[in-house]
Order: sequence, then C-alpha cells, then structure tokens
Amino acid sequence: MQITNGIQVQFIPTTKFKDIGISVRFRNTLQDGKSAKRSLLALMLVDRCQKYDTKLKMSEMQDELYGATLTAQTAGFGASQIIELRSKIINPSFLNEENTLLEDTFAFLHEVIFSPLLKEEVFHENKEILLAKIKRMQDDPSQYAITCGLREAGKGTPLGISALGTYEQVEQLTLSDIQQIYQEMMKEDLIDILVCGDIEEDSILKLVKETLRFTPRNTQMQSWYCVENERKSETKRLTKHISQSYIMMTWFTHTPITDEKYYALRVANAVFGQYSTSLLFQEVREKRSLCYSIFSNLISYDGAMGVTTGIEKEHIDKTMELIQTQFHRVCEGDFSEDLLNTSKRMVINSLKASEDSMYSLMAFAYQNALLQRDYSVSDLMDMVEKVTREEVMEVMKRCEYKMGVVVTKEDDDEENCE
Amino acid sequence: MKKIVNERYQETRFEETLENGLHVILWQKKDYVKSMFMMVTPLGAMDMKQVDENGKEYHFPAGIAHFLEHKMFEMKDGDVMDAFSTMGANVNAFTSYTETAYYFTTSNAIEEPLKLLLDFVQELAIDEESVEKEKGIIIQELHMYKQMSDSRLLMETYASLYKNHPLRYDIGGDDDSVQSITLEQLEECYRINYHPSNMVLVGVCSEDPENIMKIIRENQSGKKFPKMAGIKRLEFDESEKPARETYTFSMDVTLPKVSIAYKLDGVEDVSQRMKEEWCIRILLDAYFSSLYPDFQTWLDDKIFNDYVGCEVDLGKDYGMIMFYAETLKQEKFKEIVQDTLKRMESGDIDKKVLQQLKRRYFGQAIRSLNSFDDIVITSARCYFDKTDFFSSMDILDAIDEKDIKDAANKLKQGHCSIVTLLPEKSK
Repeated sequence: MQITNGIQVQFIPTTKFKDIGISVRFRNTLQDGKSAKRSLLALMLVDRCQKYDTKLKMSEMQDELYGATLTAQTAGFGASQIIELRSKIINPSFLNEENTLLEDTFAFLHEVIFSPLLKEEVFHENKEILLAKIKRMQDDPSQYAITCGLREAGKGTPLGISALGTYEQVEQLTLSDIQQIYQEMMKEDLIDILVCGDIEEDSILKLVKETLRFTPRNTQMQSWYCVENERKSETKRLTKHISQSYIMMTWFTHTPITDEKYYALRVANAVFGQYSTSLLFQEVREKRSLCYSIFSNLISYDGAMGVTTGIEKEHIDKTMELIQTQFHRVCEGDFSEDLLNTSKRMVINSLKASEDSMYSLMAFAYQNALLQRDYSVSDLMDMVEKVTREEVMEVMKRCEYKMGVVVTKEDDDEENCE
Repeated sequence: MKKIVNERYQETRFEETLENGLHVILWQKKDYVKSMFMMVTPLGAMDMKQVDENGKEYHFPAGIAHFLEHKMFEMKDGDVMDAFSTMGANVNAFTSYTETAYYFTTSNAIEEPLKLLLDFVQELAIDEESVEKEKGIIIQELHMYKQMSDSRLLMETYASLYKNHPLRYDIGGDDDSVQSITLEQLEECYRINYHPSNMVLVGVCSEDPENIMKIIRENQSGKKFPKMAGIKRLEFDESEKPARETYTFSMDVTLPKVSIAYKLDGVEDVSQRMKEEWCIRILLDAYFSSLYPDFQTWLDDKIFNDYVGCEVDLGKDYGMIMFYAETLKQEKFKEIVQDTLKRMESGDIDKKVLQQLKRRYFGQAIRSLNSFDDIVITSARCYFDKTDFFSSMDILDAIDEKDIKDAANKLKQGHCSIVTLLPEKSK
C-alpha cells in the first residue's frame, strides 16, 4: 500500500513467529562511488543517533526493548542499491503487564532514521570499520574470488559494482559526502516499509504514519536488468598466499527475472549446480573427490549465474573443463528425468519453506514490490512445476560464458593482479 | 508419551523413551509448513578415548566421529542424499566436539524421510575402497577451514590451551590422523556409539505427535539391536598451565588478529556449570562491550575495530574464556584485556546492568524459539546433559549479585595463552 508518493508499506501478518520484524528499505541507483557513501551511511545510522548519542545509550534503549535488534545492510538488487534498516522485537504478548513495546520501537526507529548523528567521531569510527570489513572480505579467498569474478565479468555494468564500495572509494570519503548522501536518501530514495509478525494492521499503519513521516518523492527506477558487455570470455589468474585454490566462473544468462522463462532458469540452475543432487556436486565432488563444496548461484536481478569451488592447484584446468562439460550437458539435455524432477521439487520446497522464515517472507513481499506484481508463493510453485526439459535446455543455451577467475598461490611466472 | 507444556514461552513438546532405548522428543509448531528431524549421538570430536560398562577402553584417532559422519551417507542400495531429494527433503549432518547429528528438513510429507533418517543412521555400509576415497574429500574440507583466518585463530587458541584434551585438534582431525583411520576403527566406533539407547531423535513440525510417534515406534520395533554395554567419554587430565603461553603464525590477511584465552577448570555438575557460564557471560557483557563506558574510547583510539569479542565455554573437563580482536596495537589490547579481567575478578556488578542484561537475554531466548535448528540441537544437548530445555533460563532468572561474585573467583585461577596471527603479504 502506498502511503505517499514513493513510500510503500506492506504488512505480513502471521502468528507463527515469536517476534515482530520491521524492515525499512531505501532504494537508489547502484553507482560506482555512490555505493561506498551509502554503505558507510548505513553503518553510521545504526551506530548512534542524536537522542542516543553513545553506544551505551543505544544498548540501554535496545535492552529496554527486551534486546531489540537493530541492523543495517546494504545490498545490490540489479541496477539499484538497497540500504535496509531492520529491527526485531519480541511479541509484546510475552510480557505479563500492559506495555508499549511496539510504540517505543517505532519511536526509536524514528530517532535513528530522522535524527542521525552524522558527526566526525562517528564518521571516523565507522569508516575504519567499513575499511576493515572490505579488507576481511579480501582476506577470505573464496569471497575474494567471487568479488573479483563479478567485478571482472561485469565491467561497465551494475554487476561489476560493489554495493559495499571499494577500499579506495571508502578511503577518500569525507563527512560531508555522508551528510549529502543522507539528504539525498531522505529526499529521493524509494522507500518500502515491511512489518511482519503477530500484528494488528490498523494500529501499525497508524504508528508508521505517525513516526516514519517521509516526504513524497517522484523517483523512477527499475532494479532488474539483463547484464551485457563487450568483454571477451577469458580466464584471469590472481594470486594470494594460500594453499587451496578458488574458482569463480560467471555466465550471463540473457534471461531477466521478469522473463516468462525465468523459472525454467531456476530449474536449470538446480540441475546444474545449486544442490548436492546437481551435476556439479555429483561429478566434481562425489565421483572425483576434487573438492569439498561446489555450487552454482543465480544473480537474478542482473541476469547472471556463477559457479564457485575450492580445489588443489594442480586440478584447476581439469576442474574448469569438468564444470564446462556439466554446463553443456544441461544445454544438450544430457540429464536424467529423475534429476529434472528432483530439481523441480527442490526449488518448490525452498519456495514452500520460505513461508516459515520472516526474512524470506519479507524478501518475497519486497520482490513483488520491485517487480510491480502480486504473485503468491503458490503461483511461483505452479510455474516451476510446469517447466519442461526443453525449456531447461533452451534457457541454458541462452547463457553466455563470460569469465573465469582463479585465485591461487603465487608462482614466479604469474602476474599478481591484486 | 509425555506432554510437556511451557506457559511462559508458549511451547509444547512430547517425549518418550522407546523399548530399544531410543529417546524421542517432538515439538509441535502449529502453522509451520516446514518440518525438521534430527538424530543425534553424543559421539563428538572429544571422544578419542572411551570406556564401556565393563571397563574396556577404546582409543581412536582424531577426527573419527567426523569421518564416520561422512561415511554414514552411503547405503547398501544407493546414496542417501539422492533418496532424500527424491522425497523432496534436504538431508545434512554435522559433527561438533560433543555430538554428531543427522537431520533433514522438508515441506512435504514426513513419513518416508523420517523412516529413511532412522534407517540410514542405524546402518553402516562401507568398504575399504569407499573409506580410502573419502579421505581426499575430508582433507579438502580441513584445508578449507584452515584457510579461513577466523576458524584458524580459534583452532590455534585451543591448541595453545590444551596439552592432552582433544580440543587441541580440529573437529575433523588433521591430515595424518585422517589418513590413519581404518575401516575396522570406523566399524568399531559405529558399533559402540550408534546404539539406539545412546541416541536421541528430535522433531519439530506441525503434525499430530501421536501419529509421528507411531511411525517411529513401528520402524524401531522391526529392528534388532545387539545388547550394548553403555559407553562413556573418558575425561582428560589437563595441567593448569596451557600448552603454549604464546604462539604466532602468519597467513595472507591484511590486519593482525590476536586471541587472549584463559584456561579454567571444568565444572562437573550441569546446573552449576550453566550458572557459572551465565555469570561469566554477564561479567563479559558488563565489562567488555558497549555497556562499559571505556569501550568507546578503545574504538576511538583504534585499539580494535568492530572485529572484537569474547566467549566463555565451560565443559565437564575443560573451561576457557577468550578475548579476540583485529588489532594493530597488540600490546595495548593485551593491557586492556588484563585490566578487564581484573575488573571481572572483583565480581562487582551494577544492579541495573544485571537487570538490563537479564531483559536482553530473555528477549534473545524467546527469539531463538523461532529457529528449528536451535530447538533441535538444544533439545538433544539438554537430553544428553540430563537437564530440561528451559532450565538454563530459570537458572538465569535466579542469578543475583552474590552468584556473580562467587563465579568471579573462578577467574583468578586462569592461566593465559596468547595467539597472534600476523599478515604475510603476497609478493
């Protein structure tokens, strides 16, 4: 439901959870440079605010609300970047006495969002933290392979932009960058407020309207797109001082999330590598003991697909060939009827199970908002059910292999691309 | 079948011990589509020495419980994962220091996967060739964890604290111990640890517990198990001193990480153990988190960043508290930890802070009841510890300033071990 231009609220009433979740999602375009500012802003917002201007006061307030959580995430959704502020509180019915837990939580969120403490000391502390986070991601070789893989494959497109920002970008930020991007966020961002749990919609709507009074805005934005660029497919080798090697292979799917064949792609991905029943796990791990884990993932809002695994250095070429072979097997329909059916069932199960998780329920409602549609979980299950072998082959053939990134221990003859 | 209702947390569960000794716990969660069932044996990475009722001792190489977990997924007629997938269920397993658990989740019918869970865990079908083949996969898994700086720091901390205790090994053992494991050892370890009278089955689902219990009873009554002499983990004698007072290693990370751990005595009695653990946790939160006013100064002075924390872990025959951080100012961090420990040793706690933390933990406990994973694993652990699921929260409620003072005394005996991870940059 739209409460004013550009501001939507969605309620997901259910009694199955012990808590109530509130998610406020700010959406703007994912741009190189801007994403770093926004990801630092997100950290600063949940650290302190004007009314609770120390961590101690923030903790006291959250404990007053029975250990209410308050977290911030930034994520890329295709061509847009989301800042999500999320808070969870226990269902007030667990408290014996009359209470104002919900009212107090919304009042708290109001302070956090509308009166942030965008000051030097908060800026410096969180800048250090964000820089350390980025470094830590680079330290983790599998994460490093994924980041480099997407950056290389998606050069010149949103896929190649880190929603967290790069080290160099964050290093150059100033407090006024953050103050300016906060003003922009409050004025321009498309905002979705999602509330899930044992709630009474009318009273929550009243609370939202009273405490989260955002001004109307006329921003237009499309999040999903289908990644394309002129890069030739190649393999890049990066080095790190590690014993195991990591591979990230990226394909462009040319099937956007809104395509009628998108659910065939979901099934194709399940046949190929999403599960332990998939070809990749069976052929690379089970039959040849080359790795411990190997999985493929769809990056749905960008129209991309990635495969990651960790192996011994001497097996790199063999494993990459083997992965390609499995990919082509899906294209050619060289998989059993059993695997097709199992894969469909796995996708359907994960859709079903999403109704039991607050996070998934919110993600589902948000997806509907982003794609401006109103599907139910059972609509999606029907679409998966109807997928045929021919469709799986068709969408897989549409995929274009773009990039292989290998992170491995250094040899003298290899270039260090860090 | 016994029905147990908890009014305060609004939860209902059913329990029964079957004729063959298998204990079953069923939580009823109305409205949920998903179900989860977990079969658990108290065989964990700590079980390197065991003794049965007749006094016979068994010794195993490090990592055997984890190796067995891998091999359980083979059956006479095919692969377990495939079979579950065909039924629309996901199966998985994990090994910790104190147990091995096999579980499935599904949003479809329960009966078939539930029977399969019982069947595959209650049968071991392996041969020399499959044991040898598994070694490669397990060693890849061990290497993967070794390359993660966080898990490596923790592993090295344990290895620094303990001379004899199996905690000094990774759960999966090491390359040599994995290579040394034989088919016979796996079979023997299985035989003495996977008897139904040792194990517990925990389920969480919306279905009528009576029906589920019927399925389980029927499945179990159709099987025969040889009589088993009860098996027990042998405890390890540890000296008060750590194995290594300092240890430094390097990895390709950007910033140094330090862990400072104190070796404490274990606590035999489970209620006492939970109480002491709560008290130490309260002290840690009061003196080493944003609740302590200097914490902000430490951040501002860049002693550490957000990668900072502390843990307490007490067992029957071991105990430790650990502080860790990513830091360029290692000496300063050490000083801060030492000062913090001194403050904690006093056992002083502000009444208001104590109440505040109890509120926080109450909220966390309620929220954890959303998690099927938390429910099943806590249920299993409580069963093995012979304690009630909610008793930990009752113990917390009753804690007062004097309890905290008493528990703080324990900290005075702690011997310290420091592990430092230094960056070793690529050329």
